[in-house]
Amino acid sequence: MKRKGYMGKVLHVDLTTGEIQEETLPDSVYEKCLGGMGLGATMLHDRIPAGADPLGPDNILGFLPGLLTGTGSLFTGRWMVVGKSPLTDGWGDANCGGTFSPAIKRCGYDGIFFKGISEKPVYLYVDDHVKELRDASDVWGLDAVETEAHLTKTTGAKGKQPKVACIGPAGESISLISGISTDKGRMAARSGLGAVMGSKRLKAVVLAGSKRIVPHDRDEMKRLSQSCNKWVQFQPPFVSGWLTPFFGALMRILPTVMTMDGLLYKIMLRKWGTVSMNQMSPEMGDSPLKNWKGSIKDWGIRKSYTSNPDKFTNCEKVKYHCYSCPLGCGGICTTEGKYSETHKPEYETVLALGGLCMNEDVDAIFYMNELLNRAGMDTISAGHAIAFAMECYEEGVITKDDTDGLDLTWGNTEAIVALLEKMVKREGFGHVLADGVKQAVERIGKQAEPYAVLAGGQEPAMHDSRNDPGFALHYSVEPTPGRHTLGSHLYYEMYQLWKVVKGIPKIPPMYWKSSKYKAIDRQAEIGAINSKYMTIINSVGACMFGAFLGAKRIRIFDWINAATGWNLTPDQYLDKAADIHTLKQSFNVKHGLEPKKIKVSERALGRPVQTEGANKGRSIEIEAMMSRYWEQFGWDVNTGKPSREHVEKIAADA
Amino acid sequence: MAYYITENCSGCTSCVHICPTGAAAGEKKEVHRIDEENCIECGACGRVCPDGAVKDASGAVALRIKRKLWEKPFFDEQKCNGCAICLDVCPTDCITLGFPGIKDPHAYPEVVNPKTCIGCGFCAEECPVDAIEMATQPVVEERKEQQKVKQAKSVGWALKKITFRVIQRIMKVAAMILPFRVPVVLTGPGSVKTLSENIKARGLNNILVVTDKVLMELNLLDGLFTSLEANNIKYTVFDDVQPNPTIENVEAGREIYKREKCKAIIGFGGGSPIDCAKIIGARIRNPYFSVRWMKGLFRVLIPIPPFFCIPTTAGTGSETTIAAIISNPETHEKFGIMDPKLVPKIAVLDPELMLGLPPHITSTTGMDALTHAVEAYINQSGTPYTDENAVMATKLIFDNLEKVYNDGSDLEARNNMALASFYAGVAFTRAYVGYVHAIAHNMGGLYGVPHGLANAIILPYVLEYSRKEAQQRLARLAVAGGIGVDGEPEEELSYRFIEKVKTMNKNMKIPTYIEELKESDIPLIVKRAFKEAHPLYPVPRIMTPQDCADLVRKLMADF
Ligand SMILES: NC(=O)c1ccc[n+]([C@@H]2O[C@H](COP(=O)([O-])OP(=O)(O)OC[C@H]3O[C@@H](n4cnc5c(N)ncnc54)[C@H](O)[C@@H]3O)[C@@H](O)[C@H]2O)c1
Ligand code: SF4
Ligand code: SF4
Ligand code: SF4
Ligand SMILES: [Fe+2]
Repeated sequence: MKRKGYMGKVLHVDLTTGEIQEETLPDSVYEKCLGGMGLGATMLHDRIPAGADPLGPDNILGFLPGLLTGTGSLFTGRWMVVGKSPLTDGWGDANCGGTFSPAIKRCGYDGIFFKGISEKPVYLYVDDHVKELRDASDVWGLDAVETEAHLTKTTGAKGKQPKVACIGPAGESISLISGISTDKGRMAARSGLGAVMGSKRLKAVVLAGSKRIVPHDRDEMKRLSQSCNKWVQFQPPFVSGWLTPFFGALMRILPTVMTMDGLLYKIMLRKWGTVSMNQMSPEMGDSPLKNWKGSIKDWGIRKSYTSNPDKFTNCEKVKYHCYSCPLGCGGICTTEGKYSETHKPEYETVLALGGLCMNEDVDAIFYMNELLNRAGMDTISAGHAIAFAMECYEEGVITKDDTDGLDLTWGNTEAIVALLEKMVKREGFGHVLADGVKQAVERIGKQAEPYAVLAGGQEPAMHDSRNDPGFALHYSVEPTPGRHTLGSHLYYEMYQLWKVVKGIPKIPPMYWKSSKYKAIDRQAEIGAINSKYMTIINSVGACMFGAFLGAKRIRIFDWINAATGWNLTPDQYLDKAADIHTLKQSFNVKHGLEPKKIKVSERALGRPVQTEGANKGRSIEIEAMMSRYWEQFGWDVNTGKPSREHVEKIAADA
Repeated sequence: MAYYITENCSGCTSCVHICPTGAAAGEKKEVHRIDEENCIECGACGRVCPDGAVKDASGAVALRIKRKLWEKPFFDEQKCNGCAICLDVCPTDCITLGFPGIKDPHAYPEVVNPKTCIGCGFCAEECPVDAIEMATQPVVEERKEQQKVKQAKSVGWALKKITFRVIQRIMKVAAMILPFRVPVVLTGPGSVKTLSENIKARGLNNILVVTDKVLMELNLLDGLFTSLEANNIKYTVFDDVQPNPTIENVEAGREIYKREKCKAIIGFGGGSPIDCAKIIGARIRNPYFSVRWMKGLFRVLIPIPPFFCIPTTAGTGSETTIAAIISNPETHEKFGIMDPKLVPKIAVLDPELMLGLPPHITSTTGMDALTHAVEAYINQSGTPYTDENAVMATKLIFDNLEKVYNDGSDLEARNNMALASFYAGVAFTRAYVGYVHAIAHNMGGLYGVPHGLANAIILPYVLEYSRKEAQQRLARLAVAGGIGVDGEPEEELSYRFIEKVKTMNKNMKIPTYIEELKESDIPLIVKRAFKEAHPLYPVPRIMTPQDCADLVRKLMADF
């Protein structure tokens, strides 16, 4: 038993040969790359050969808990899945909560890596005594919820109930927008890594270990956790759903920004979860609507009212917490119709299947949420694909002849549901969209291209880059483009990192909105810090919502020190993060991606500018911002590529 | 670092059975070994080893401890944040999340089966906020009790309770002022004929008869039809009502009423046809308000057409109540529509109609009536008038229900049950029902459990829950019901009353659990039951969500 918070070993599974091997990692690896995503990046950077087919045997798929998972820290129950993305053809990762993260560690591993391709469907089973690949023909074809139920029931031995991560039919049919599910529909959805798992014919990973995870200094861990917990439990009464849109509208109307304190957002998360933003975000201009061409003029309070957050809590049976989370933004909701229960849909889902397609029917969204969770398909990408098809239909690029007779007019709920059901089954027109927008453009033809909103092949998330240049930057510049979970100006405000790191920009309590769009250098600097901090968060298994509390309230750096016994400063950790980030960028370059080319589509940058709504007249000077951002990491300012020496130096340090 | 086993081991295999990770292993009667790799140092093997053969990592002999004295976790809800770290760390998986409590909609941990807990204390060690304390089982139980009491005494909850009580008081006063009608009652064999004459005297013609298929097949309505025909009254039959009538049933009936241009309604049958008939009437006169909208109190705006009713079960009391219960099959929800306008003009209590009622329906509907009487009586909004009715009903049911269950053809006993059901109806329509009904309606809505059956099963549990608060009233009912005499200690009488209900159930083959109940539905049941019961039902003891969840869980088959 190591008293350092990590387990010191990883597991390698070769699906082609069936070989299963442990690898012991020296402490220096952890000191270098922490764990989680950092460990994944370090391992895969060299082990996946340049130009490997993401769906071929050379791609490696890794499941990684965080460095802090299980050490008694809070908000640190998240895990990463990593590999080469078939969607972007570069670095791919996806993050997920639930209870799977500690389960990996309890089997004794800081990561489980799969390479090769199995001949027949299999799943990996690990507990304290066995590690083996087992025949999965029983569960192949079952949806994610059924698979999990079946596997927990049939593999349960003495001791711990097994935890399952699996793919649904979407992953099996190698949909490029499929993800990996745990805990009845919590998804590691982005980057299309479900397709990688499907291509390997790996149906599930089933873990039932009971090893202990021991931090270096348990008392200090607890002390830090308790001070964090205090902030989370603070919850004022009388927070009401109908207030949220007005709050949003106010933020739109004011010419200034009140710097956001994450504590406020925490209060909303605790009360409703991410759906708290359902009405507020469209009002303030944060939600892309009508396939990114609409605005609040198309989606006023009356339309968004059906998705008022109170609607969601009304059918919430009980709150859902990921492992080690004191907040519990999730929920288990009852639904009507085919399924009786679903995880509370997230804001992203509600907007992607709602406002983005102009669909007002929230009951249908509950149904589609469960449908997609079970199929194992990314709701953001699926919603995007449908919105894209709707615009093509409106513009006459496709007609009823192409859509199997579906009338894809904006907001036609019936058609949306029908199309989604087809996508999940890859039937008819559903097949055209089942691999996301990029593939859909190829299948429909060049004339559809203007309506595709993408970032390097990935559908961007439900946060409008015109409203926050930070989103525009991160959508465009990250090794995993199009993500809302990597940074934005707003996030930087909430992280309050300047309270623990010296010499970084401090955001005043109030500033002019317009200043955000002008300060290119400042944006790039902030963006780089965001990327680094998020790299740490993803490496230690932390939750972004926890980090929103502010660095003084959630002491991630101190937790790392207490868990491992290291004694490093926040700056030193940020430097490590920069190295990990560089490795990911280098991975992309190695696999032939041009960092310049993965930027988000023109429409999402305000080119041409919108003529009405919250983001009227706004456009983002993304190219300059990207170049400045690269500079922050010491990459080439013209190409965005890290130099070979730079990467070699990182490798040598390890 | 791990535990290990010395040569003292006699090979009794105790450690093998207790070890949660399978680290301790060996052949019977041979020295056992502990696999260092898998030992998590929970110490359980040492606590069970009879030979003192287990040593911990430091080399100290582990002490054997009687299993009863092993410490179990106590969860301090004040501190716990629901992070579920303890669930994950527990090597025997004996912790699960309970139900959302009073504090908020989050679920907090509890030990489901203390027997599987090995007392390792890992949960307490790892809880990041030190919300867990290890203590022996009796101490844990005691602390839990204290905690419940403390919670129930919290300011927020107290305020809530006060609000409920205030509203209940207001409703009580309102009920005294409101024009509650009691229908004209026609009793005795052959009263159906009188009804027809009465209808004729009112100059009504063209009547919708609402009933169900079973009764039609039994030809139970023949008497009614002949007497209607004899009086030259035209009628149309609507017999598509299903047990626990749905919104669709109501709408279908309404279509027929409109098509045939009817002028009055007769509800004929058990609670289901009568309730359906009530709401058909409500919809006829209030076409712009949906059935769902009428849910709740005083939502039937315009009075219904002339309405008569002929109950064929002795239970619901629907023939005199202001309520009608309708199901929404989509959400599996049952809801009540309550309005004094739903009380019929005339109720016919004809025991002859009930002679063919099969025993299991006789018993369950009869227990429904008993539930009405008891809940109305122990509620806080009773008046001398409702009390009197409840007492009469209880006495009649105690004396007659088992009789008719055993011999369905006993006309006098049938008649008494019909009266009892009516009296109970009079009582509860003014003094309300309580948690038994609130929970039972969910059993009907979710699983289609017959209303009376659900009531019969739940009644003793709820009475036990509120026994202390309702002690005096239960004692009085016991005396009135003839199972005790004045002067006996109230406590004893109240227990005896609950016992009596249980024996009646047992004698009539009513189970003590609800077969279909699923644990995962409990939170929803609690939520919906509370929606129904709070703030209106003036119950003697207000439940916390946890109390309610605990109670519902007791209803599970394998509890
Ligand atoms: N309105 C109220 O105040 C009130 C109060 C309690 C319950 N209810 C409602 O009433 C309904 C239950 O009514 P119920 O318990 O009377 O059952 P019911 O009307 O559903 O009848 C049960 C079964 O018994 C049959 N039956 C009825 N009378 C018979 C007879 N004389 N001979 C042979 N078979 C006969 C019926 O055809 C039916 O199949 C539920 O929906 C319940 O929620 C209403
Ligand atoms: S200490 Fe616990 S895990 Fe180790 S052998 Fe004994 S019972 Fe098994
Ligand atoms: S002491 Fe805690 S962790 Fe150990 S078995 Fe009991 S409940 Fe589980
Ligand atoms: S670990 Fe502690 S805070 Fe977390 S759920 Fe268990 S008792 Fe509550
Ligand atoms: Fe009843």
